[in-house]
Amino acid sequence: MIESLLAGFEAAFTLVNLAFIAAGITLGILIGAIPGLGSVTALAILIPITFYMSPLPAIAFLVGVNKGGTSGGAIPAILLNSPGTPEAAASAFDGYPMTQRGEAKRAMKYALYSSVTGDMISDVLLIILVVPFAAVALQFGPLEYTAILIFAFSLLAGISSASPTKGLIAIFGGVFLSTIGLDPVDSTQRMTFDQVNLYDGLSISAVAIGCLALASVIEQMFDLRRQQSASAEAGQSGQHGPTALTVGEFFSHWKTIGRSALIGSGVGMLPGLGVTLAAFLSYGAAKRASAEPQSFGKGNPQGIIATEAANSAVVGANLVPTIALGVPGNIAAALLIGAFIIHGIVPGPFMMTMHGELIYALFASMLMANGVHLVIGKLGIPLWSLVAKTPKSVILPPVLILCIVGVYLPGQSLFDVGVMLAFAGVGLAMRRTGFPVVCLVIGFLLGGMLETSLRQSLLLHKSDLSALLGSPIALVFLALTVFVLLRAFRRTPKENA
Amino acid sequence: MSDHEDADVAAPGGRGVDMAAGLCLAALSLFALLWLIPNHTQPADSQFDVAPGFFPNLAAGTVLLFSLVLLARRWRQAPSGGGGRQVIIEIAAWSALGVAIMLALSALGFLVMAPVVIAGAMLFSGNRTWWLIAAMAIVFPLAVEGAAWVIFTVDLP
Repeated sequence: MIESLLAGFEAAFTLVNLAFIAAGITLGILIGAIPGLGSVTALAILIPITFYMSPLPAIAFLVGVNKGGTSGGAIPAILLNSPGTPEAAASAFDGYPMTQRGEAKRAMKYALYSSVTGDMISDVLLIILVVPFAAVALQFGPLEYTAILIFAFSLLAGISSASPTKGLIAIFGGVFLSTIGLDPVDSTQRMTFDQVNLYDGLSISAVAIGCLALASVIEQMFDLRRQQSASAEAGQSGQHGPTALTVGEFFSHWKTIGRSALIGSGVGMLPGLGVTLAAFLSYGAAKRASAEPQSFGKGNPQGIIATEAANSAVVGANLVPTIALGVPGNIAAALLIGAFIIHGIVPGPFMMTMHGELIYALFASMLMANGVHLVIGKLGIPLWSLVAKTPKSVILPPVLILCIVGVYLPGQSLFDVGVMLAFAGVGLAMRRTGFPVVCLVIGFLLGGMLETSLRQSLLLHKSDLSALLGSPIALVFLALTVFVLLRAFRRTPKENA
Repeated sequence: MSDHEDADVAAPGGRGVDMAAGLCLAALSLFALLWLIPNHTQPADSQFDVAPGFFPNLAAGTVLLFSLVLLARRWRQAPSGGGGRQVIIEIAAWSALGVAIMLALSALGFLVMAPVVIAGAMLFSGNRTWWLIAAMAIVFPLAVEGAAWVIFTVDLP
C-alpha cells in the first residue's frame, strides 16, 4: 500500500494538479460561506467545469471543492451566528461567543486547524480502511440504522437545549415536517394539498436557512433595534481579545481533536448518516467529556474543534463506502460518484483493482489538499475577520438578501423563498421561547432516513419487535438511547420542562 | 445552546410562554392527528403494508406527548417571566415583512425589493450613515444580480 501511495504522490504532485486543488478549495470556501450554498451546491455547480479535464485533476478539484465548502460554512456561523448549513450550526454555539469577546480570528483559526486536522485523520483512515470496511458496512441493515438514528436524536435532545423535552418536541416536529410530500414507499401524496411544489417535500435548504441563518439575522436586528446604542455594536466590533493561536496550544486539545475526527470518520463511513449528525454527536461527546461542560455554548474553543474536526472528517470517510461499495455516504459523495462515472471510473468493489493507480493518486491529492487548505485558509482569515469588525447594521441586511438569493438559486423557486421566510418566523419564535432550532432542522434532515429504515425494518421483520434481539448493534444503540435520555432528564431537573 | 439560546430558555417567557407554547403545540399535533393526516394520506394497500400515515402519526403523536409533558411540568412550577407580548410583536412584524418581501419579489422583482429591504433593514438596525445606506442599497443588489448571472447563469426574479 505504501508503494502504491508513493506512486500516487508521484502522479499527483504536479503544478497543474496543485493549482486545481487550490482553485477548488478557494471556490469551495467562497461558496460554502454564503448561507444556503454549502459544499453540495458548490459541487453541483462546479462539476460541469470538470467535463473537459483529465480524471485526476478533475476529481482532485472536486475533492478540494468539497473540503473548502465544508469548512467555509463555519465562517458565517462564527462571525455572524448565522450558520449557512446545518452542519456548521454547532460551530456557532461557541464560535459566535468568541467573536463577541473580540476573538474572531482565534475562533477562525481553531475552526481551520480543526478542519484540516480532522480531514487529514479521516483521509489516512480512508487509505487504511477502504478495503476492510466493505465487510463491516454490510453488517448494518435497516434495524441498525433505525437504532443509530434514534440514539442520535436522544443525544441531540440532551445536548442542544437546557430542556430535553423542548429538544424532543423540536426534533419530532422536524420529523413530522419531513413526511410532507410523496410517500417514500408507494409514492402517494401526503399532506401536499395537490400543490406540485410540495411533491418533493419542503426544501431542505429553505427550512435550514430560514430557521438557522435568517432567523438569527432577524433576531439580531430586533436586538439591535431594542438596544439602539453604541454599546450594541461594541459587542461585535469594539472588543479586542487575543488573536494568536500557537500550534502547541491547538494540539493541547488533542483528545478532543482525535475523538472528533474518529466520530466524524465513523459516521462518514456509514452511508447516509451525514455531516450534521457527525458534528452534533462530536459536540455532545466533547461536552460530556469536558471537565467544564457548562462552559460549552459560551465560547469554549473545544466546541469549535469538536464540530469542525468531525464535519471535515466526514469528507474523507464518506469516500470509504463510495470506493469500497459504490454506495455514496451522502449527497456530496453521490455527486462525486457522478463525477467519477463521467470520467470513466465506476465506483464499487472493483474500483481498486481496475483504477488502482488513479485511486492512490486521488488519495495523495487528498493529503496534499489538506496542506493547500491550511495555507489558503490562513490567508483568508484576515480577510474574513474584517467582517467581524464591521458594524452589524451594515453586515446583517446584505446577509438577509444573500439568504433569499441562496435559497432561490439552486431550484429557482419563489415557493422555496416563501417557505424560507415562513420558517424564519418559526425559527425566531423558537429562539425567543427556548426551543432549540437546530433540533428541528436535524429532525427534518434525518426524518426521511428514519422513516425509510423504520418502515423497512417493520416490513422485513413483519412488525415483530423480537427481531431486535437478533441485532446486538441495534440493542446497544437502543440501550445507549435510554441511558442518554435518563441522564439528560436527571441532569438539570429544575430546568427540564 | 449558545449563550443566547440558553438565556432564552428562562428569560423571555418563563412559565407563561412555555405553557402557551405547549398548548399551541398540543393543539397543532391534535389537528394533525385528527384531521390533517387522516384526510391527506392514503390507507395502506394491504394488511401487510405500513400505511403512509403511520410515520406522520408517530411523529405528531410524539410531539403531542412531549407537549403534554411540557405543560404538566410547567404547571407545577411557580409563575415566572413575562415577555410573551414581545415575542408575538416580533413574529407579527416579521410575518408582515415576509409577506411584503414575497409580494415585492414576485411582482416587482429582485432589483426593486433588495434595495428597499437593505435600506429599511439598515435604518431599522440603527444605522444613520446615509451615504453608506445608499451605497449598500444600490451596489450590493447589482453585484448579487450580476454574480448570479455570471457564476450560476441564473436570472433573479
